[in-house]
Amino acid sequence: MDRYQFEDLISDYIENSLSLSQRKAFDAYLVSHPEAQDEVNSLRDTMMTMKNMNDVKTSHAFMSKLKSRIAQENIQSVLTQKQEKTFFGFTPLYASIFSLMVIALVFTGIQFVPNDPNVNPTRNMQSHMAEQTTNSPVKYQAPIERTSSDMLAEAPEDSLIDDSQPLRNNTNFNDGIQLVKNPR
Amino acid sequence: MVKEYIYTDEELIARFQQGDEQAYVELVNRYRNRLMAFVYRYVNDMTQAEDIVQDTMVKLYTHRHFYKEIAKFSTWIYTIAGNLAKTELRKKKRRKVTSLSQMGTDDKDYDLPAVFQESDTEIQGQFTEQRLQAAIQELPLHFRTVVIMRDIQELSYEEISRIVDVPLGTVKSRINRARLQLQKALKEYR
Repeated sequence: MDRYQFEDLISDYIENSLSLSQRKAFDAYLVSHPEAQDEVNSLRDTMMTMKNMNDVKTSHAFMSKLKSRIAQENIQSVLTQKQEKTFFGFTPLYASIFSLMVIALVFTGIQFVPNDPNVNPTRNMQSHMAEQTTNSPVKYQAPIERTSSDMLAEAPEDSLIDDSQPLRNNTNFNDGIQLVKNPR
Repeated sequence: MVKEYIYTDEELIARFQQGDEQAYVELVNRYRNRLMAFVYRYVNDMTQAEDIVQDTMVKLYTHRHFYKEIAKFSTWIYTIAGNLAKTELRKKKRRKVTSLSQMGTDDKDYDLPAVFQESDTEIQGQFTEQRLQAAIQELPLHFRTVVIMRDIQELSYEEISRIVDVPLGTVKSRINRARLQLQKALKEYR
């Protein structure tokens, strides 16, 4: 056993909680180190002094003070319970926050609805169509069969053709290509 | 010395949880001085110690339904008191305020034993106790808690282990180290 082992086991030795082999080893250390015995005695004295330290007691006013504190706690808990009333499952705080949020949402939604009907083309068109339907109802008319000659007769003259210039007749292409002999 | 009671602490807290306020008063009477001794040795200030014990008892009242029968009542109440004391010490450390007067100026009267016709041995005993109390304050908090619980409050190692939530071996080791430090501190004055 060395010094460190001795110090580790000193409390167990005083409290008599060492195993037999450990106790033997400890006793052997005490025999070989007389100053160690003084240390054991000194530690035992310290423990005794601690054990015999004067009792400290609470003051005489302890109970009355405690009772008043508990009465305060009870009042506070009753107040807290009162405050814990809920509106539709929400605490007053959350209920007011939620209400404000709903109001804000509705207000913001109203801002998106325009007051001028011209701003909304879809709505304008719809109202216009509704007007036509009520004022001049559309009557069904059978389609008129028309020939192509009728349609040509009705066609306007082509303004792109210049009537002052005679048209070139380039329909003869026989002279277009001539074979040329090689002069060499 | 362990007193014999009709009801155990656990039975009393059970009755209190069912609404019996008299059981609460009985628990307060059983523990107020024990906790006072523990907390005073821990914080070294009578006024502060009594406030902490008051807080512990108020917590016992308001948090009575938090106690479950799986633990001993004493373990539970010591844990509450220990945590409050630790918090108070941390606050004190932050504030860095040194109280010159331990008793304060209020008219509170504490049951410290009256000393009449002090003999030399008694004076020597008081001196040693003062030195010991000062030496306890020098210990690190994790040493201080366990050594007070073991050597002043005489709690078992197992109970201390449960209160501080540290393995039994560690508790034993801490107590041993704390005792050696205290012994060393006292030796300087002897």
